[in-house]
Amino acid sequence: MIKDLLKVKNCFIKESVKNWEDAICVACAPVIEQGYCTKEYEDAVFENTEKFGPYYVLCENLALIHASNQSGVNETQMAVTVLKEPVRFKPDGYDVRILVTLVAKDNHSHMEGIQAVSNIFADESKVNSLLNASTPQEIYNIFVENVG
Amino acid sequence: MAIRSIMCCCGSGLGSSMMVSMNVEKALKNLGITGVSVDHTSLSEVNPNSADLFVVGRDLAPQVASYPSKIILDRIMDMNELTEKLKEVFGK
Repeated sequence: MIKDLLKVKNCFIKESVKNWEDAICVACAPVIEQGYCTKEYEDAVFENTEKFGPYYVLCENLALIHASNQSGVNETQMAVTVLKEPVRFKPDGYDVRILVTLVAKDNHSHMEGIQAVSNIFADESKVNSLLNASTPQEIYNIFVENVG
Repeated sequence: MAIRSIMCCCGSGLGSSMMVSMNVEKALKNLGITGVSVDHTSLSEVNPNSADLFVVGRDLAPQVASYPSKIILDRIMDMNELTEKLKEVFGK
């Protein structure tokens, strides 16, 4: 259930980040602090980025920040940070304003979260609602409404 | 050869590959293609015999260069691109 995957308290609106490294740290902080994964997970994202480039930037405005379930994962959970100012993960890459952090303990428990991301990003008006959200509750509602 | 299984792959096996597998299921349904299993995993878990067709993002194309049957997506979340490429493979 999406309600087990995402919590209002893990939806954030933030003015800006310093750079892409800061974006990763900001995106991972809540799930690490709450014990859904360890710092090892964030380290794995950085290591993978070094090897493969920003594999989690899937389209304009979206970074689905994640590593494999082998890297310090305790429990499946998501977090969403909407940035007012975009960040780029490589100079010629997309401008990104939505950071979706995904911690998955297996390859199916987070399906509703991925469904929501997929449905939101298939519809520009939904992406705009997310970009213009003014409260964490609004962000949360958009995800919950887009499951299925 | 008839395609009975499609494997969507990415680096971790749980982010974009899951998204793509859901899109493949939707696209097959829209195209009226049935009897095909669709799954997702990490690229390190597969070999060319794991499925009849593989779907990966452009960034992983070099790693499946030796795979005989594959779809490479330039825009990982683009349903139109995926649908067109599936049509071609299935001869629709």
